[in-house]
Amino acid sequence: MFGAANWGQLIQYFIIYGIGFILGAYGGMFSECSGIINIALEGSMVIGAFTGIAFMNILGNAFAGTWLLTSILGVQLLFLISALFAILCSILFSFLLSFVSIKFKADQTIVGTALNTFAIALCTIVNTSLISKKDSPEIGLSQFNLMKYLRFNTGNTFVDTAFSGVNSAVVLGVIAILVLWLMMNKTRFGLRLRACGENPGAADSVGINVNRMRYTGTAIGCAAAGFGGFIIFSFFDVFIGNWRIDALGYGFLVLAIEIFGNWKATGIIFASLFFAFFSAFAPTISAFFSANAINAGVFSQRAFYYMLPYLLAILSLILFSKHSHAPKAEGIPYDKSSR
Amino acid sequence: MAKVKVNKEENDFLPENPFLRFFYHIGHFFHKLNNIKGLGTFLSGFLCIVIGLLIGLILLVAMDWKNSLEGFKILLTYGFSNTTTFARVLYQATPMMISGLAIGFAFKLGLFNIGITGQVTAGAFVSIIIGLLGMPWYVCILAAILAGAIIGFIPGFLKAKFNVNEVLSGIMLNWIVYYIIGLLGALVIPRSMKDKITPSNLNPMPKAACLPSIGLDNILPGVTLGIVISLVIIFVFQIILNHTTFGFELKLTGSNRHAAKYAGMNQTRNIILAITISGALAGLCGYMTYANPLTATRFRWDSGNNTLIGDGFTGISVSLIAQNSPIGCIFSSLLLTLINSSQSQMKLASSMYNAHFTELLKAVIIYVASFSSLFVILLRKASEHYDIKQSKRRAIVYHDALTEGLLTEETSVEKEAM
Amino acid sequence: MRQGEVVCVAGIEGNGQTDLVYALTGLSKIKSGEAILHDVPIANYMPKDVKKKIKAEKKIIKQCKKDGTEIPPSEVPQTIDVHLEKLSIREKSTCGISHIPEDRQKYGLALDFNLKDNLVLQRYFAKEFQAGGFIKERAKEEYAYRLIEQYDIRSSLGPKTTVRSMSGGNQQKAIIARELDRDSSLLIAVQPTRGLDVGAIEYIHKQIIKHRDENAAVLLVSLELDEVMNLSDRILVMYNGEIVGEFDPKKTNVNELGLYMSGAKRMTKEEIQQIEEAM
Repeated sequence: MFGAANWGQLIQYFIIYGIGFILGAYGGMFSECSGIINIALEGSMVIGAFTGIAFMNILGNAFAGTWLLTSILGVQLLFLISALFAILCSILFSFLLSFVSIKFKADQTIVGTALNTFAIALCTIVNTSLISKKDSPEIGLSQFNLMKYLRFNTGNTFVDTAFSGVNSAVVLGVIAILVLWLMMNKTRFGLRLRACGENPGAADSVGINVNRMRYTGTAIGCAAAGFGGFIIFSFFDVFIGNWRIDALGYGFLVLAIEIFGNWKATGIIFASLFFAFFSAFAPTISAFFSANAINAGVFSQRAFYYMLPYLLAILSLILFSKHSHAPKAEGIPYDKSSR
Repeated sequence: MAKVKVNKEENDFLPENPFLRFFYHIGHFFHKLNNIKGLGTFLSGFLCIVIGLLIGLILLVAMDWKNSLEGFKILLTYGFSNTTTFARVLYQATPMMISGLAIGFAFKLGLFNIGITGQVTAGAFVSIIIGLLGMPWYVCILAAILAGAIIGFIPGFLKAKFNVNEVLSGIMLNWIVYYIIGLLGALVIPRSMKDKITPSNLNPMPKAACLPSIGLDNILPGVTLGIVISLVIIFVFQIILNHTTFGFELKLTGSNRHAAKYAGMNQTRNIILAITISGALAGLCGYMTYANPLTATRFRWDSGNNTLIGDGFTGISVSLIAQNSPIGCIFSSLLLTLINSSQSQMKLASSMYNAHFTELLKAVIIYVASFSSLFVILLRKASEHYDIKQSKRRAIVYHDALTEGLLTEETSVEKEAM
Repeated sequence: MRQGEVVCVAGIEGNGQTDLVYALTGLSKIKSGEAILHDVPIANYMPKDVKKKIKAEKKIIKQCKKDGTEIPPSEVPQTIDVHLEKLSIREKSTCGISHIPEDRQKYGLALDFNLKDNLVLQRYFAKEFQAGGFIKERAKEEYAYRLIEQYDIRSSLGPKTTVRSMSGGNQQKAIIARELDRDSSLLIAVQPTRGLDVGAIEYIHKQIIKHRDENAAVLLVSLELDEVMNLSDRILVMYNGEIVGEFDPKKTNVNELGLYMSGAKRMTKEEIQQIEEAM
């Protein structure tokens, strides 16, 4: 029956997806509230995940056998620095979007889509040429056997499985979510950022540098999304198997979460948790079915459960798009002369 | 103010300063260019390809500078090296043109049909199944178009009635179609239709369901009726967009939907129609990808590895580079297939150049294409700048002529544009 | 409103004038109430019952010709009254309503298109400009040249000019040319001279008066009290979404209008009706 191990797995996936999606959706929220439509979240997640995992890979190969890889503290530190590196690279990636959108006034949806393809291609070629030197587009951490340093050993299967995915990067992620929530809702910076997306002319007239705000907002956005991507896909790499360089459409799922959450920091948290539950449900239930060799027609097919989050996303889009209140000036390049 | 002298043509006033005269000639050139219809679009597309290729060259140099020129040469010329490869370039470009047209057509209305992947996959799936059931090629084409249109209808309908962003609904549908096909493949499709060696793929299309040949099989193996169909469809759409009232409505709605509403255009009908037509074209592209007797690609129905087949995104690249013009799609698809065909050959130049380099190159070109509309704006600005400068010069000359008494009241003085 | 008069709706911005115009022209939906346009020729708008009558009559005429009897006089009305709230924007346009919008760049023009496309913005499907769906470019161009000549629209390249590059005054002239040339029985003009120079303002005022003299009805919405006093035959003051006063411009002054516009005074319905009947 659906035992402690299965529940544990559900919670494990739920935590990882939840934090990853919230960070991703915050990523979209920060850049869109400042006025730049960010379709490149998928690409940001890929870049964040890849740079973080590649960094871990390189460090792991360089320091194999040392304290860094053979003690719990070392492994946690490894995750932490890789996460920071991933954030840094995502910030650099954000400039590809913001510079072109602000200086050249390009169509942000198109640039975002182009960047998604670009991110995957760039990561693939860096991977195949420099890191794995093989021809496959996968990158793996399994050779380091990191799992045993991350598992809890309290003896309770449920607790062990449920929280085994939690590492220092994930904890940092939770802290980041709190910080970002405070930043958006309680600080002057958050208010000014939102002003740039609602009425940039008014923001400009009180002395806010709209374009600099937009650069910052997009940088924070892509950084958060990259961090979220790193959390999700490093988990895949360590616990499931090699990660094939692709964000599996989570970058777009996160956009639907944004609309569902109505571009508000609190709403997005609830929406992300809702979607995270269903995304976590899919692998758990299919593992359960295949482990117990149950055949229930459609309901035992993995495809059915993997499809659920996307179906829900469309339903929520149908229900919520009519009343959604996107930042009014998003997608429109700010032109001082139009004031 | 620069002194000017009157040239033999009445409307040209050359500055005396040779430095300024140089800029005049450049401005004049751009002004003439801007007036040629469609040339601005062509130049933008051309420029973004050139810039993309230059960046590609830089990357080649960065990766292995000794063999970079060799690699670059292979990249650009391998497709032409013999008739078989050239034929492959042609028949691979055939479905790409149509997918580019699908995206570009929806773009005219301001709609980003990113759901094209789902529409292409649906069209391919339905047409292969119908083909495996023994139907001839024209039935398969119709089935593909219908399937694509139905899947395409959904984001259009959701946008028109519920204001759902078509990018998001398109992406979600991509995944939903992918998983539905996975479910159908696992539960409904019989074993006989699946490949014996790799059961996660479907069988290839039988000969009767493939595109018929047009007799070129000896010179250009693989080039079928498909290319004729594609070219005809592209020309038809070019005419529809530029010379019919329907095309006018689409372009106006895309340019300013408030003015379109004011003009009485039926927004709902146009949005739904445009995306459905786009979906139908995508379905056709899906059919043509698998309907070539020489193609080695097999349709993978199994959704187990959770990765979308990227068929749709090539359409986006084709259309972006072509600046959404139907005729442009012909050339950009040929270019992209040309680059694609050299994919496996690049290793011959250097071991650093692996198959993924062409993916990166295409991604760079798409990125440059995404802001290439800048070039059109720059061209227009240069042309307007020239116009203004000319008006100023004309005004100065006439003023001087008047004060020097060279013009009398009878001579007409041209009134300047406001 | 009657043909051959200019009625002006005056009021402080935000008191419902824009909503009234949007409702009449169809840019907003009408939730309740009715607006009737009288004497619309059936060539412009044919409702279903009129179509049935015509079909029936054609049968009768055929029968009469066969029998050799006299053809009875036609019972089909040549003009009908049309309920505006039931029509689409296109139908209103063909019925003879012209609209000079408040926001010329948002509603009135497609800035990235050229002048000749904009001059047939609502009429591109008419028989003069298309055949079987294919646009007649030459016809459009000739029409554009005529309007440019007639209404003095200045542009750098003639009909091929991109409208975005034209000055505000000429853009407005283009809109006015298009709306006035359409043989409409009702012209709705909202802030037609906003942001224009003195010469353009005078020119536009002349055109509006000319249109009224050609027996059209003009509904003018304006915030410029001078314009209101100079152009109108009747002034309605709107406050908070209601008509609170009706005036004869010859018998009132700017101060009185101001009092009503700010809501300080208002007339009752009976008073308004009395004044209307008197005019």
